[in-house]
Amino acid sequence: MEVLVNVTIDGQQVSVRAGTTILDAAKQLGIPIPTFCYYAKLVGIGACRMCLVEVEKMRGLQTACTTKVQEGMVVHTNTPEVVKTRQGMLEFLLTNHPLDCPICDKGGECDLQDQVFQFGGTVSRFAEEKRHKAKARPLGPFVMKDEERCVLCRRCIRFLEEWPGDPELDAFERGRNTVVDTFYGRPLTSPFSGNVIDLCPVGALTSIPFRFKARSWELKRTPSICTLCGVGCNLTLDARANRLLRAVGREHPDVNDEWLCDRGRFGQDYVRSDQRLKTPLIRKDGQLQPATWDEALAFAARRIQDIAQTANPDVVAAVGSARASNEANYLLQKWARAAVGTNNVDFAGRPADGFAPLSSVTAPLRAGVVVLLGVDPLGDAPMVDLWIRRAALTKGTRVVAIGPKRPVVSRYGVWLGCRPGTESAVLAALLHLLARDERVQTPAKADLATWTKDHAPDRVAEATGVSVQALKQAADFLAAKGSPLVLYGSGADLSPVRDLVALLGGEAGYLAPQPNAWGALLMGVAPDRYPGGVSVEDAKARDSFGKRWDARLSPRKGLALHQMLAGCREGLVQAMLVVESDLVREHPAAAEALRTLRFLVVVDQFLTATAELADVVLPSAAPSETDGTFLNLTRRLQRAAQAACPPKGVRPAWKVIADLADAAQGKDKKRGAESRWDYETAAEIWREITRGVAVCRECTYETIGTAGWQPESAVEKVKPAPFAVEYPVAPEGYPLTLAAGRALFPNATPARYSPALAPVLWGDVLLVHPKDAEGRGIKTGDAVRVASARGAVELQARVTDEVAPGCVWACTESVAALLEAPDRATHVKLSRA
Amino acid sequence: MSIGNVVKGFYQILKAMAVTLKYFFTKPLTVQYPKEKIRLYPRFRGRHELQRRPDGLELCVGCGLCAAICPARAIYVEAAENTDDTRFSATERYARLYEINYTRCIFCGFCEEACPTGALKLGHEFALARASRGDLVMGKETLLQPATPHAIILED
Repeated sequence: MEVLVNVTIDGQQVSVRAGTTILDAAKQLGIPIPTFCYYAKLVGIGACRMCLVEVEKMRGLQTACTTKVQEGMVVHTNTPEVVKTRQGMLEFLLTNHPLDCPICDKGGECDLQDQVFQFGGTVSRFAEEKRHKAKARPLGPFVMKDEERCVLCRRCIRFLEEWPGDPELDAFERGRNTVVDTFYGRPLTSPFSGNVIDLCPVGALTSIPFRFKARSWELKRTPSICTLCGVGCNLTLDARANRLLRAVGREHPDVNDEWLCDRGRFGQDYVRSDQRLKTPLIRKDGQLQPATWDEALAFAARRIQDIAQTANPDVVAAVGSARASNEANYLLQKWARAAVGTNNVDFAGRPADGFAPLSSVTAPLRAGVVVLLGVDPLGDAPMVDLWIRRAALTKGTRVVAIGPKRPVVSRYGVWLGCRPGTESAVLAALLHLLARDERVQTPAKADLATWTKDHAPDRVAEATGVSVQALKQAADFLAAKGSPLVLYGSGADLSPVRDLVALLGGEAGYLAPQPNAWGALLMGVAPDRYPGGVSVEDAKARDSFGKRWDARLSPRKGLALHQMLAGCREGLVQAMLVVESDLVREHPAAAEALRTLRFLVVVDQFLTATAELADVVLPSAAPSETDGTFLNLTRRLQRAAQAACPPKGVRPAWKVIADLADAAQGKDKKRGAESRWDYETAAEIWREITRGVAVCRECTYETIGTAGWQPESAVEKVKPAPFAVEYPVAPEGYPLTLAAGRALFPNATPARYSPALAPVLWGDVLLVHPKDAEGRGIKTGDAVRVASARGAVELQARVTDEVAPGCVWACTESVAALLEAPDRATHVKLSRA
Repeated sequence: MSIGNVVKGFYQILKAMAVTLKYFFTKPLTVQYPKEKIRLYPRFRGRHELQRRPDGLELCVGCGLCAAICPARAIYVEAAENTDDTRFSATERYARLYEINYTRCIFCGFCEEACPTGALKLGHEFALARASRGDLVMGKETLLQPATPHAIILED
């Protein structure tokens, strides 16, 4: 039971839980107490003495942020002594503050400015020369430090210690010489370093990409979401003169608390890249040449119509995107189904059947052990990585990482480094150990003990190269802590995962790396599903959508993406519309397949590798330049609001698709409301979606608001089942396994176009284990040639034990040409170039 | 109509004519501008002039406070960072873009008052007529030039 204590603050009575600080109790009463070092989400240290209050029967003044309330306590926050002390504290701070507010980026949103204004004295008595320290020294690629302005609140130090667990900053020297710095002058490399900029109450830590771009009061602030990974962190997009200048974290306790990763914070400026497409392009004489919208749309519509009429509608295919909004994806499938008459719609990164969304971004906080199955959350969903770190630091959560590359968070547990494709075997060994562990007592135990009897740790260890000791340690974590959270990526084998959940409880979820994978699926960008997930073979649904869209809908299932690409070569697919998807860099075999098409239309913000193959390229707006909704990896529906206008001559993707359909349809046809393509706003499309998709029927842009909306989803009861374990055998001549993944700063669209991320982008680097490098005479920095049965690429080697022996690791976009499928193990050989 | 009224009316006319005659023989107030210079008070507020330090560096640091205070929203400032090779002001920051829109400016002088570095002074140049609106948006290259006003400045 909660113990309540009664306190009196400034004559007002309040009952609060025992253990509450005076500051929090005062907050409940709405009594303001100024603070610097205090931050609600960090441990209080009482360093700045700004929050001193008078407590009756206690000697001297007390720090409100660290003093706990007690029964009958009487607190005064506004006595002459308190007021004078505050003035004194501020005066002391100002003696060591350069007061260069006019050139300080924090000016206008600075705690020190605000508090001196509200609580400080009026006249400066300090006539001496101020102390001088280093100004404008970069701490890393993103954070600029000004030592003179620092008030030593230690918020930055505490954040890095308490949230990402990267204690890279500390205070050095003593007294007035104290400075906050990194150890040995190393750069600040934490993937969450940008948050210290928001946390700094003064201008000591400022943003390098935003440096001197605008004053805070000049910014138009738009609450929105990040669309650079599947988490959809809430942020505020700040624009001036229609230019998106910065992103700052926005509070949402169920998503990102209020933090952002550096990719999301600094990567949004890709919209200002000078490589943006500003005008439609048409291929003439083998070259892409600028054209007008009318010309490009009419040409594209006519060519697609011609191809569909000479053959049949099923030679046309549409590829949506997990990067595009629900509205654009909905219109894309509507275009394919209603305007063209084919079910050939799909997108890269579609969650496979049986994949489940994560229950919540903060799920690691409730887990005993986080099992990473071939995923590195730092690359796939950085905010999930932060929550895992937070859980490990505050709740003792352990991490069991299974896969070819060692994730950073495996420092809170164990990494079972194995080749891609052998994860199931490793899981089987863990299940073998757990089913024989006396701490595990669940009904599934007996079954699993028999099913896994062939997968004893020593046998699996021999086959996969994972040590028996590591397997035993991982099993020990799982048995001791229980309730695992299994995070898996595309291509995961779910059967052993289900068994693990059946045995230990907990949950499993797909770590969707793209911002709208679940949304595109819900919008019906799938060869066999209508919006809302109804099968295309369901006659009732077909009639209903057919009537709505005023079109005869095809009853046949369409081609999935890999079938489309295979079909390109056979002539099964002759024309394709690709919306905001860089297939060539994401999907193996795409380049080759797209070259054989008769007609390719690409809608994107940049001239991507895919767009370079197109016959017509139509420029589209970025998510921050139009309205749209996204479904994140927990299927939370959130709005990405318009923060700036697109460049002149650029239209939102939904508008481009609608215009393309309009160009084919002609103006004179009399049609029903939903079969017209004259959408004025994204909200109009959303209203149409809600009429057709049952899950979001009640949901409008207003109800989604700035906080988002989580549709209820039924939790599936998992039943254990036996599963087969495969050990992929390397073909002759290809001794290594290539694992492809995603880096924190991927060289992929759109992050690769961000000017701020340019210096830290993951290049064409190949991670090689020292054992594999030694025999081949490869050293870090050498150019190496990786070859699979499909082809070869040249990369730069980095010799590191971050990758399992027998494996090499590279970003998908660097090695897409080598892969069999985006999520399958590929056997390669490696040599010095 | 009585004879008295007639006399009274005639008297009024004479009185008025006397005033006219008196001014007929005094020196006219009209100034033959622009041939002749006119007289201004020292605190007259004309076109802005951006000031320089004695060593030639700009005093403006691009803080944007002038733009913030401007009631007519006539000022637009974009700042940038000085490098060792190209230095415009003495501190880290300088105004890369400094524009005043004289179709909007009301010459209130708040900007001068807000300026923390004394970089902005409202000078005595008042002849601002231009052939196009675009020319009335003046940038740094104009504002940094001290104007030569067609005026004689009165002593205080």
